[in-house]
Amino acid sequence: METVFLRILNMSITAGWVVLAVLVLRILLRKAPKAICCVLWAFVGIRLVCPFTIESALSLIPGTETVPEGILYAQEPVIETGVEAFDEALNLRIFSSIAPKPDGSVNPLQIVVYLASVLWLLGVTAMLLYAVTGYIRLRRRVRTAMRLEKDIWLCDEVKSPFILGIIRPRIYLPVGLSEAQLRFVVAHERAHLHRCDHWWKLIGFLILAVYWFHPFVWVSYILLSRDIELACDERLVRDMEGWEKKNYAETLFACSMPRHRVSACPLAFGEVGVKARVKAVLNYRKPAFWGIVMAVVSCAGVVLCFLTDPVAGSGEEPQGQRADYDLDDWREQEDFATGEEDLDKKEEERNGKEDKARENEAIEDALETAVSAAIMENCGTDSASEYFCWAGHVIFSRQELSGSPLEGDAGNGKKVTAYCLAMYQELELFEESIEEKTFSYFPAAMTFFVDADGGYVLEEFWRPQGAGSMEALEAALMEKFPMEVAEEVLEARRSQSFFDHLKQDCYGKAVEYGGVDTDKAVEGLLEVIESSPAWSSYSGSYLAEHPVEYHTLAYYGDYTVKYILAQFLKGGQTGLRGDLMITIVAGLTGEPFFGEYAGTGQEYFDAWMEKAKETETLHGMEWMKENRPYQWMALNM
Amino acid sequence: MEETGLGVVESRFADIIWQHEPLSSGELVKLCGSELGWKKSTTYTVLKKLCDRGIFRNQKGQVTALLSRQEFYAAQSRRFVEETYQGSLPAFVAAFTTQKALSPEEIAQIREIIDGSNFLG
Repeated sequence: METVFLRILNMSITAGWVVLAVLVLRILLRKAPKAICCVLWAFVGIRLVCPFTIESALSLIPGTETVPEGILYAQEPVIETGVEAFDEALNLRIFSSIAPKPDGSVNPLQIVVYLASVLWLLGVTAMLLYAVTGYIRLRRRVRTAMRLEKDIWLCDEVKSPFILGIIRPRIYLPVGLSEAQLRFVVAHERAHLHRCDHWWKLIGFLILAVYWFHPFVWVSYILLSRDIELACDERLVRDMEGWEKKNYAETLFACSMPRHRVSACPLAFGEVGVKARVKAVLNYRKPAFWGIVMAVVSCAGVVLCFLTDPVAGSGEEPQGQRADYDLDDWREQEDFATGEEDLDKKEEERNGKEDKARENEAIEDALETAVSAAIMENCGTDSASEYFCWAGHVIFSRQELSGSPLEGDAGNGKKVTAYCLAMYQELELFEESIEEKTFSYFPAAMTFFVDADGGYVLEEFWRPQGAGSMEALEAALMEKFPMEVAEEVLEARRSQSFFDHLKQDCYGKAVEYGGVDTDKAVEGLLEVIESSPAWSSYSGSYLAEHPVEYHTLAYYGDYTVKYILAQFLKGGQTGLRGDLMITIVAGLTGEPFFGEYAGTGQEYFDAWMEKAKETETLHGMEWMKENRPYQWMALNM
Repeated sequence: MEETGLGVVESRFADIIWQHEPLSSGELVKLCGSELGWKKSTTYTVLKKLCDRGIFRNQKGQVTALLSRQEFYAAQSRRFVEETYQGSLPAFVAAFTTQKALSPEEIAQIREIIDGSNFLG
């Protein structure tokens, strides 16, 4: 239930942006046919209903997962709206009030979310009950209606005309309408039926019932009702003479009655905004051709920009050597790591990296290789030959300087400076573990000559000197790097995600190279973690006590996941070990392991596995591989 | 307060009974089905309502009128005059004549009614 609720919450926030866009467009498209507005609302509806959307580079949605689904299990819960200023303020509050305390036994956020989802469900039930009772009451009232024609009924008990029913809708008319009024009213209601408006309104209401807590959705529903009526009037008025329009407007007025409730299903003739409708009818002019064109174009714009999600960093990555790890998989895992992290910037980083990737495409590989080599060369210690050495980096900016060839210089005088974040690591590889020997992680600026063959020859290798404080590092960077690049690099350096990506890549390569038995390594780390503090039953306390081992498990990445999945598949993980493993694997994979009720690690896992099997029968293995990589992994074990 | 008058739909239903009475309730259900589009239960509900108001009677499946159509509307008119004109018939007639002069035929008809009526006393 909480998962569904969080999902709904995220979708509602995303859809809020669409509603805003539609509101603006509605004002711009005042003169355009009202049917266009109905189409716009349909987009809002799709966004609210459809959990999956197509990604597009043109998407203007700031962020699609504002409240990460893993937030319940996060050490440091954060939300990201995609709008930086919000995030900082919001997260500060969340963090200070409801972040889980390492030694507390219940995560306060879980309680809050649980209560909120109960409240939400109650609200949904109330909304549906309201609609159903309203429908039944109306049905009872029109029971004694009399049939005039096939689907037109006359009823003593109602005051204004409306449509009732979904499968076989009927038009109900009040008594006392004149012949002429009757003609208009029936024409209007028939137009509704023809446009299937009774369906749209029902769908609209069901969506409203689910998103009852969202003011924008209420606004949408109310405006949708109005636009439906306006569009329906428009359809009739299109072919009317002037005097007919006047009579029609009078009929509208005669049938209007004050209504304040949000009525669920019935489509009433004089239901909403009579003043606006009378005005619209009297002022109706056939829309100009360009008006329609504009409207259609703007609709397409909404689809492109708001119906699609921003592209998640996929495909091209600036790093040549990082092949085994997909950024996407790591996206939701950041809450796994403790310490300073800045999730808000994730999106930015990813987008920024992508742009760069495109820019650099042509010369990327050569430069990447040159940078790696330069790091190796400049960081290697005397003992480097004894250990496994690894260099990783992310290039943030690349600047070319071309001048006249210097005398005696074989190249074309071109120079390239790469501004990057670099990591260097020397590891001692054992059969059952990896020991860190030398490690550095620093911003660097490297300038290369480009020689005649397009090769890069290192000219200058700059890194901030001395251990220094954060301030000193900032100052040094500001001096050496272009301003924006310096800020970007500092930002990335603070982000745990960059660090983890690089670390993971390094460990992946080390395991491949040294043939480390990762199962034994992971087991060893788990044993250390569960050794203390014995007084607590909360797995978080154990993880907090052993940050180094906890992080190392993260560096082992998929190896850790594989080992833990295998343990659970063997079964019987009901104790502390089970709790620890489920917490770790949930953090690493971002999978929704935790269920509604508290259980043992094994129970959580079994439920998850059950779901995996169900999903597999539904979609097949290929789909699982694409969309549920971790469940796919477990199914294959 | 006792309900006064019949709605448009109710009077159509009442007319059916007045036209065909006495008739069996089964027949009435059929008639209402074809003329009003009613279900059996609807017919019985409305019939019961009008029976409770003392207009019809449904005994052993036989529907009869307790008040004829004329009697019913006469009672309605009386009630109307009583409620709206404090029971003053002249005030009621005056309400018509102030708006629009009566035609000679109308005056003749009214005189005939007055002359033909029995005065008690």
